[in-house]
Amino acid sequence: MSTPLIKVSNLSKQYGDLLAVADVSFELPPRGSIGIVGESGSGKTTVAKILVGLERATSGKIEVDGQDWSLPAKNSKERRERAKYLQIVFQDPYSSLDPRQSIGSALREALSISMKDSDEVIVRANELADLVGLPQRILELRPAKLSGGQRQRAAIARALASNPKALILDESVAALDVSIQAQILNLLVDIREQTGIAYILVSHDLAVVRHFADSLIVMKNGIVVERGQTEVVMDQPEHEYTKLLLASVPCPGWIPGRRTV
Amino acid sequence: MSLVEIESFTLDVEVVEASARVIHEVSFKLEAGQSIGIVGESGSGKSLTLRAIAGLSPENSVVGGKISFQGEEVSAMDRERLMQYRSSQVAMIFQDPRSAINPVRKVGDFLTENVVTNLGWSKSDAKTKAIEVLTEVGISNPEKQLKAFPSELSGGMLQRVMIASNLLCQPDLLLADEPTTALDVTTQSSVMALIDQLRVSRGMAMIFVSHNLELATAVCDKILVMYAGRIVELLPAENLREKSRHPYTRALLDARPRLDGRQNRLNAIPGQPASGLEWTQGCTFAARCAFAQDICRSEVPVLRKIQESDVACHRADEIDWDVS
Repeated sequence: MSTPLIKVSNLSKQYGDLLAVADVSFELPPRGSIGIVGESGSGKTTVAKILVGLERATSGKIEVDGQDWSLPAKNSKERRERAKYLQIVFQDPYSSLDPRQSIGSALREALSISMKDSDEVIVRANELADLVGLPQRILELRPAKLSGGQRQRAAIARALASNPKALILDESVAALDVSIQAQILNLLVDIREQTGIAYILVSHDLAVVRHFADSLIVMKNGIVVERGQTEVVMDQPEHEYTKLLLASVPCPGWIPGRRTV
Repeated sequence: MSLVEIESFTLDVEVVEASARVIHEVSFKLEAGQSIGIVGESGSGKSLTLRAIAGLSPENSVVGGKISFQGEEVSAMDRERLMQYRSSQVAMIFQDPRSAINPVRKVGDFLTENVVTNLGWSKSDAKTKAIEVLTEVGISNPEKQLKAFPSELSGGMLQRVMIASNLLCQPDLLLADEPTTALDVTTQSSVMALIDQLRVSRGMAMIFVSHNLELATAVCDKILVMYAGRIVELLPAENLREKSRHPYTRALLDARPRLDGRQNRLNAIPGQPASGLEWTQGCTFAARCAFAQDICRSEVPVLRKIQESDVACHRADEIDWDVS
């Protein structure tokens, strides 16, 4: 049993009267992938935001590579240090990339945090572009000139700039066309093979989770209702809600509104 | 006479002081009570086609060809007739109910406004009927909901209100543009079941625009696949998975991850979806197609009948999908 890269224990988040995340625990092994599945209001995105420090947990413990991350980073030095472990890619690359900044400049900016030599930064920026399949000429363009798929590739490249050990994908392929979604999912698999990165996949799309995640947790109203190996949970769901979720996904022979598998 | 007949429909839009074609020669028929699903990726022209049927083409665009509803040309309708057509013969549901409803007016006003203003119903008749249709779409305590503001309702509830508003005056045709895309899967399932059940029980025809092939297949009689502003395949819904013949249809089906098993890599389609604007010559899909030959790059394939499919592909009868 290897030490988990990320270990989340009894994580909770309270917003006023609303318990958005209730006692959530899970582990992510190095090079592993876990899916967090749920619908609107399930708390899945709140968990992701707490992990990257965009929200503060009400209670619970987060350990990353043996270090205690339960409290937000105290200063910018600690924040930079944490950025080397965990990065996030959101659903809409349009709103996560600066519209006034060229893609290359965004990449170089992220790289210069950890690299001092400017030639090295340029070389590495080009390498990252290659890794995500962006042609070099794209680097000089601003996000508006890119297609949705190219923008998401750029967002992934920027997230990889700090050479993180894990990447959170928060609905990162949900807004993409089917043919582009498949390209990006393949790209993420390739990146894992090349870099050994681990993934946390936050998604409402069960087919994508099945394709991508080794294990998963199913969340509803902040609570984990089911967990396990992806194949086991999807083939033999135990919880009524997991069954309902699976029965709701259109597939060959599907009838809308039918509540059981 | 078909309910809707579309003949050589083209749409030209203004692009930097010039005009460019986004929809190229789209023709199909919809019979009364029938449902057709239009599927495709961004830029395929599926929404533009749907909206043109309601006479809702973008400003500065030029519609060519003929779109007729019960034999009457939509482009020939004057303002008054168009308003009557949209308020009593065709109904529309869009992706985001929140942007289709006035946020500062109550649900009841939204529901009754059309029939009172445009069709001359009395307010009390409209209210009675509104309560009836809200009950029909599965909204409990309808009297109370009439007084609610849209912000007090969830997305799924609001989409049910949209559906209810379309049922007030017994339309012959429902135009649904990604009506459940913004909803959670479990809500999508129940809203689709509702649309399907109401459509069948009222004998309404439907054109259902979606990027989700499985969803469209589940509720439609026929599937019309569009790519870059053209129809590439039209076939019975039950034939989609096993018997579709266009390489694009097949590639789309193949690119989605499956729920019933795990594959190592997905069969992604190289390149990115094209719009009708990008057409120069030949088949627009040729640039991304694994089967493209010289003829595909020079001549536009026309729709031709192969068994039960209408396919626009030069090589459709040569490719053996069963063995590949």
